[in-house]
Amino acid sequence: MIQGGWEFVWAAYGFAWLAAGGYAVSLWRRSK
Amino acid sequence: MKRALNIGLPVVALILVVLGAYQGLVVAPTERMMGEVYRIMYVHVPTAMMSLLAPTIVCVASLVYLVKSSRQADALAEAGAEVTVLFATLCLVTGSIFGRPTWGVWWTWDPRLTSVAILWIAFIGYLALRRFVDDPDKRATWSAVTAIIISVDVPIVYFSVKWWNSLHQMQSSPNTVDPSIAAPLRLNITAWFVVFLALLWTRYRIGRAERDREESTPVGEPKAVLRMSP
Repeated sequence: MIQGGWEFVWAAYGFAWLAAGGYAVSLWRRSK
Repeated sequence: MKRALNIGLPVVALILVVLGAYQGLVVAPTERMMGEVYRIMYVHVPTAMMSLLAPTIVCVASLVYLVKSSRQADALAEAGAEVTVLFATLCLVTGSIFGRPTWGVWWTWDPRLTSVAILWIAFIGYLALRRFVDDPDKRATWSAVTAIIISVDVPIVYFSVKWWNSLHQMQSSPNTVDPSIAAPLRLNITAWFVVFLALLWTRYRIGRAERDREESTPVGEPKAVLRMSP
């Protein structure tokens, strides 16, 4: 029985985008 | 060429991730059994694939370093290890969020989950080892040997769902998935692969620059001098 829906989807996407974006920004700052 | 990679890769990655998110969140249909929750697959599967591709590159680069003592290979291994930690983190966290509504738990000591967690911890240890050794040649050699040993976990992660009785599902074939669900997955895998390349390339460039600085600064000498006026 599946419990929950979009809140889990947004949590997963949000974490992935923030983590990948944060790492990309840190690399960009280190490369300057 | 380098300028095209420096600018082109991140731009293409961003465009593909936006397109992939649109396909996964809007265009893909609601799944009959899992409802909307299955859409997590569009970020979980690509990041899981990259979390196995990255340590494979680290292993190959480490072998090349041991054979040729190539500083480029060492820089690539270091870059790949950092990217491995990122993608293994994404894989574990998105998998945990996927597991709660579908399995009823955030975490379980399943062979697939446990072997990915071991990979994640092992590569954090690898990066810590690199920071503890000052001599560039010793650091590269010890790191290469460590990387080859811990990369043994990569096939264990991949085959864990076949070798042991795992709660995690086996690898799906595109033939068993409806095209309306499989097509967005292909796009998202492509998008995250370009993200992977962009991050790996940028981190590799940073590593090369660090090695150039190290070569111009002999071991034992201070890397910076504090100048004080009288």
